[in-house]
Amino acid sequence: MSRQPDVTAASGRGVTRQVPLRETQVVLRRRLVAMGCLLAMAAGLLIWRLAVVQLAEPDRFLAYGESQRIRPVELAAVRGAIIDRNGVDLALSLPLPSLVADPRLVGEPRLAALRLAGVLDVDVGFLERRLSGDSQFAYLDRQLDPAVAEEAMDLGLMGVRIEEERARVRPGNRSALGVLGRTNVDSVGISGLELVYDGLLSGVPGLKVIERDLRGASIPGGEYSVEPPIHGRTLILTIDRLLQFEAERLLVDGVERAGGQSGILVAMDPASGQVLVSATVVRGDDGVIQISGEHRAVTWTYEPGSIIKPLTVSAVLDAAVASPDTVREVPGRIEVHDATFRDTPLHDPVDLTVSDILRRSSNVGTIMWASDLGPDALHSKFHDFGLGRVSALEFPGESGGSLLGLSRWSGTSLPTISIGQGVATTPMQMVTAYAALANRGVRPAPTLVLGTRDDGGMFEPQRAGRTTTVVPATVATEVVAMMEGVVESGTGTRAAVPGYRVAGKTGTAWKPQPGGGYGSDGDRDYVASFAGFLPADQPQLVILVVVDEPSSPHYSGGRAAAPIFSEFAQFAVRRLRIPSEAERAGLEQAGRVRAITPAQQRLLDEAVLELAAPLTGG
Amino acid sequence: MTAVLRPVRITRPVATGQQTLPTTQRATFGMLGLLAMIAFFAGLLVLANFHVVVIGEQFEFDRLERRFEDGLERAQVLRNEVAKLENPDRILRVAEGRLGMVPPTQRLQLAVVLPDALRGGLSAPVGDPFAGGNQ
Repeated sequence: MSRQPDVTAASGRGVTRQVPLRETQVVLRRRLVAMGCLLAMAAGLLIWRLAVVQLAEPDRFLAYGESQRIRPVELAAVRGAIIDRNGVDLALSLPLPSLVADPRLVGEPRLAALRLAGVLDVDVGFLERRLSGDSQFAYLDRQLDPAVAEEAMDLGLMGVRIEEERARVRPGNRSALGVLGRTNVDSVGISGLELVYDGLLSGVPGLKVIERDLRGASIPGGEYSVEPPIHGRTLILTIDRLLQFEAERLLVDGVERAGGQSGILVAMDPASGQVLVSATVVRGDDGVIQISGEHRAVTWTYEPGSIIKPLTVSAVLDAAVASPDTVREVPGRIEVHDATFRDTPLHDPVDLTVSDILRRSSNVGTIMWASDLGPDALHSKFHDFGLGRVSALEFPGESGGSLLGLSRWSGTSLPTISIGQGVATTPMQMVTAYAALANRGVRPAPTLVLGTRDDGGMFEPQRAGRTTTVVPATVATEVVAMMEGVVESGTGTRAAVPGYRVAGKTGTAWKPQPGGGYGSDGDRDYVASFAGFLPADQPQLVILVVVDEPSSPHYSGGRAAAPIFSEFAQFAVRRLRIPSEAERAGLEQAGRVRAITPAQQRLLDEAVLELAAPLTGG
Repeated sequence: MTAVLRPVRITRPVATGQQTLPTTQRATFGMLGLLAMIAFFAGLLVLANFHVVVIGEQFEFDRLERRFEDGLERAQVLRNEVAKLENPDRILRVAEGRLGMVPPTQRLQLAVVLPDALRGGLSAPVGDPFAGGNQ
């Protein structure tokens, strides 16, 4: 018998009932069994669930978990910079703030739009529409000035925040804009060199896979892999930023002075074909002349007029039809088929050498010699000079100009084309043709790009274009000597550069009218130009200046374009350290003092020591 | 009537000398157990500390990575700033506007003529010719 006491329970005042021990144990046992069953069921459910999770669909849940923790982040490649030949930045990619909103969080869109419009340069209606949308994300204004973005954030508007994105900026504002081109808001090139070299400038984005916790911090020892982006290459141009700026400044002044509608200045190194300057200015609707966003040196064509005459003369000399001193009687006017050509000013028949014809820019004399040459040779030579076909620049929108095929030439084509009418060229074609004369008859391939550089600084030069020998060096030298006469005592005296020998040619072309023809006397539009190079005996710089529609009385090339050439050339020779005649002569003078740099001095000292040292070894 | 519960006395079996371990052996096992427990907790402590270090380093790594990226962006911004400051248009505006400078009407190049003794050329400067004096 158990020694445990009997269990009694009070069930009321003074009343007790004895519960039998056996009954209590049975109840307890039942409860325990029920509890055990419940626990076993719960455990069974858990085990079943675990089995489902772990065995039946492991991949699904694994992927679900990873999707919450592991997020691949695209690492944007920074668009490469565009720099000038001296390493000066012309276009850069910068992180700029964009103002974005979550419209669901914006309380009163109308009020918020009104307040934001006071800070941003955006229409109130546009802002209100953006802030009233159903989406979670809306751009309010992109790539803002950081100060403006900060001012907008200071308004403390709910649901409005800043996100940074890369934007393309040009520290030089509109300088060389036509050459550089533009990108869209997503930094994709849409014009100019930005478009041509978009593939190289863009780079390749990278990928970063990282395991993060709820707060966004990376989990130690978690998934982590980085495929770094390949940033865009830096594009190095042949352009000189300072020369470009000065050219644009002088062009604006010059075109204003001449009352023109637009102006173009192109400068090139004749030996390499590197374009040092390509400036375009246009008069806007408001009458203000400003830098154009269009690279007109390659997209715009015009009838060059008399600046084509050196090319005609070089063809005549190359074919041995005449020499520079060959004399012939040149009348004041000449009739070819049904057209009359005349010289300005009109003159009586006069004996002129070929040099005189070029110096006086005689239309009649040029036509007479071109007629002796014949259309085949003239057309072939012009083609060799690069007229009527696109250059090696491969610039978007580049025009090939217009040089009619021989089969389409009429009776007046030869005289017309030989004096630069009835043929359309781009300024780049003309400056390249002049570079051929300056380069002893070898036409260089024009280029705007020196090369590219990667992140590590490795430079890859641009493949050089093909050069073409257009005329023999002797012919080129003779033509250059004739062109020197143009600047010394001909129509281009205003292009003279003190201290330098300049060779060049003026051009005053009639501009075709929209309805056809060239208009009548007193009612014509002109294109004034001057093309030349210096120093004449060792050309280092070829410059072409074009002024479109100069107004009377400054419409001639000698008056409208030549002064711009002179002013620019005076600046360029200092910038490019091109020695003047006196300086070059001075180099050989005994009294000239030459200062040398410490590096040069060191080399000199080493050379002296090396020469003085006795020869040793085998 | 009130029922009185009395405590139940449980009688323990009396240990005999043959059934229990010797005292020294028991002490050894106790010591080993204690050491194992200390080692276990020490291991846990080291592991926790290791985790703390790893997490700290990870934070530091993240911070340095962010700083590196910020530095790169800052460099670009400064590069742009330099280019803007060097912009000839700005320099010209400042020179002509704020400083009141005017372009020269005429440019002269001065020739340098030295006595015969120096005709061989000027030697390079020694040291930094632009260095200050005693200041």
